[in-house]
Amino acid sequence: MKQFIVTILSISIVFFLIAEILSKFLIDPIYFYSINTYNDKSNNSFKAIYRNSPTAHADFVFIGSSRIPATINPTLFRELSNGVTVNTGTGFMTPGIHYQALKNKLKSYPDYLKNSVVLIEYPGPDIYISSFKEDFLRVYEPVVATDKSTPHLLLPHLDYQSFLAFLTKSTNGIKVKVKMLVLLSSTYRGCHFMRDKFNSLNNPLFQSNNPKLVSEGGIRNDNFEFAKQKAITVAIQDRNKIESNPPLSPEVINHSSFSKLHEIVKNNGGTLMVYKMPLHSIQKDIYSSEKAQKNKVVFENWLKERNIPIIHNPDFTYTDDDFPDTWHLSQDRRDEFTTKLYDQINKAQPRMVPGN
Amino acid sequence: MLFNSIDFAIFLPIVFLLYWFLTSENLKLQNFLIIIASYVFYGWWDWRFLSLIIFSTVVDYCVGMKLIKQKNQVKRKILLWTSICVNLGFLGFFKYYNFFLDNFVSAFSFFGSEIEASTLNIILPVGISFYTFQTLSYTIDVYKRKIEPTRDFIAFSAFVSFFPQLVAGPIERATNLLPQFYSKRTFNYPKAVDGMRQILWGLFKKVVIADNCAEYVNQIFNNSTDYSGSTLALGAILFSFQIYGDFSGYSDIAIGTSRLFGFNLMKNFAFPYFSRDIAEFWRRWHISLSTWFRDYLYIPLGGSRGGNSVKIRNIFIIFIVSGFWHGANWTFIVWGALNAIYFLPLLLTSINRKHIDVVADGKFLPSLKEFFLMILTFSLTVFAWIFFRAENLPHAFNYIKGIFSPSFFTIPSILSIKMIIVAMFLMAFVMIEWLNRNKEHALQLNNSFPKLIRYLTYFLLIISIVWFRGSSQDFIYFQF
Repeated sequence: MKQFIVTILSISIVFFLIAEILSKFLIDPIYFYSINTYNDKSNNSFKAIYRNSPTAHADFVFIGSSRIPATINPTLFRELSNGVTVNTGTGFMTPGIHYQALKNKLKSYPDYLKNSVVLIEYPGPDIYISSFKEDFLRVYEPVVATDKSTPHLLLPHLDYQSFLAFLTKSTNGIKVKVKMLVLLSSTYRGCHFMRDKFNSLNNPLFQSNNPKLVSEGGIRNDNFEFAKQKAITVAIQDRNKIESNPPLSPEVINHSSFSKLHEIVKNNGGTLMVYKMPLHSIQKDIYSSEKAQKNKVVFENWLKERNIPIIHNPDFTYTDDDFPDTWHLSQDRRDEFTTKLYDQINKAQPRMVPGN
Repeated sequence: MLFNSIDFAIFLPIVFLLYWFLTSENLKLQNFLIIIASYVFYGWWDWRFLSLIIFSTVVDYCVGMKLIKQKNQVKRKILLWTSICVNLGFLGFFKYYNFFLDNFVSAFSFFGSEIEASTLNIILPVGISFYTFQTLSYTIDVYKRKIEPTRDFIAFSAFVSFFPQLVAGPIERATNLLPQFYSKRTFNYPKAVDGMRQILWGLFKKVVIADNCAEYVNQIFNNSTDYSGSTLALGAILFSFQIYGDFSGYSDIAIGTSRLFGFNLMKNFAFPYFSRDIAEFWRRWHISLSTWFRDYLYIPLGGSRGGNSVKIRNIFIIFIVSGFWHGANWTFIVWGALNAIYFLPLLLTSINRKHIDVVADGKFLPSLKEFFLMILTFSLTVFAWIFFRAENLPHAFNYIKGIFSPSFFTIPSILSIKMIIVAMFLMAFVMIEWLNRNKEHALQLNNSFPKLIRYLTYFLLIISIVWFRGSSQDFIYFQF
């Protein structure tokens, strides 16, 4: 009996140690590379990934949700601007993670944002206006039952101190904190990564047409019905949130994550801009109420007072049909949007664009 | 509680340690621990339905006790039918009430009389078909004086609710399992190690083979009108592997877990897809249910004695009842009838027991004839599984129509890199099962295998389970 328990424990420990070592050296570099969106991925060779050589300076940083990879082709943007373009837009990223990522990046590379343009997506006046005090180190927790919490997205941006701060100060629940603790194991991370990679290999081999959506930034292009259903649920939630929250005021924005992001960009030599995100009518409807319109005026005045330009893309016209899952712009229209947006940025702030 | 969940991974070691360290000196206490553990295991899903198990246990225990004393044959029969009515009554209500009501209403509509009846929103208690049949076998065996009724209520409760096989079998006979609760269990190291191997293999079958196949199967069957004939055929083949991996995987985990506690459960699957005819397939597939029907339904009906008409009647009854046991849907009935049609020619020409031994025993490869027979049997099985998986009969017929269309000769549209990896897993799986087809289970590696190979196999299986597992699915047989 004792021999059985000792054998099982010994095998488990030896297996775990082997798995831990293999994952540490063979999977971790690729894992961290794939989830650390604050690196320029369009120009990183496999060797560079393996050496874990991060991007030391970025000329353009796009911050936001998975709508960013749907609208911006970073490789094309890099070619147009001749500047290092980093696309951090990913589903389930929170303002807390973006803030930690920038803070962490600037600690290691103080010139990361020097003379760079940071663009935050602007779907409506509710973007990152939640309290920084609450957002600080907060990771995504599911708003619909099918989602999962995402502490792993914070993982590459945590040093020891921030990790302790996450465990003690984050407003996330205990389950999410436990998940973060488990994520300290390379084996667990490795399993997570390999499963994701395995499932991402599901695109049909003999497909004649291009997929309607890019498969980047957590966008699901395998199940539009699921995405549509979720889009409606989340739109209702967002709309209700706007209606139930107090009216937006400059005071609220001053204490928001948006303000903190602006501060960190400005204090490190960068320029913050927001760019108007093309939206499906379901998403547009979130901002159609009288209260949302009033919030919009307050938000845009706040931006104006701080010389934060709003980049519209008037030459880019679209209809609901351009959003296959009602959330994300179709892949067919991405390059056009990217090119036209680049022209608009160039017009708005020509001196900021490298090469000009 | 699911075998492939974290909950079970915590539950099992706790029960194991309590069982062998805290209660091993006292048999009654050990059996009592099994009851508590089993009720926790079952109650994890829905504690309200524990009352059904407890009620069934009490009724069958009391009937058994009464049968000891009762000499009057009529009264004995009444006692037997009390047990049958209570057990089948629960099963009928929870599983078949809505089915019969719907069909009753439809039948009246067919003859022009409209009647109104509202169906009930009934939740099917997990595993009700399994434990009902297990307790029934006890009462019938006591009635037939095959076994002595037990006076030990604790042992009997543990027998009814034994958690490894409570919700999806194997359906144990009282003659095999009940005596194991009377005698002191001693820990057997080789048996426990082999149990662990069987659990590992069962998990691999469930989470790598079945769950990965399930993703494609669900996609294809749920959107069958959108796919080509070749994709639909692929969907049916993948379902064959899904259901085998799922159900035999569950049985492997159940048998392996029982061995950790010193119990021997009956073998439930014996590599059925290596069968050379349908009769052999049914001797190797869901053995505990097939033998249950054989002993308690087929033989009492006269079995294969008598004329051809009796044989045909009995075969149809046993297969249709077996299909109906799986679920209250015409698809299961047609599935059962189809298997009866496959089986009858073998029975009527008396070649149903032609293939008793293991195929190509002692050889590495089968002969061309054996290979052809295995492919033919597999194809017939795959065809029948379409009815088993379909939502309803029109769905099944349209699915079959879709397969036999010109698009059968096109490349399946769901081929992807992931699919190719899954296909490689399937090939490895079939190969391992083939190489070990004469053993109790496919991972029965004895000490003649070099240690390094054994440990490497375990490591690769564990890695496959954690890296390549499909999206989590419930065990198919939970719904039966």
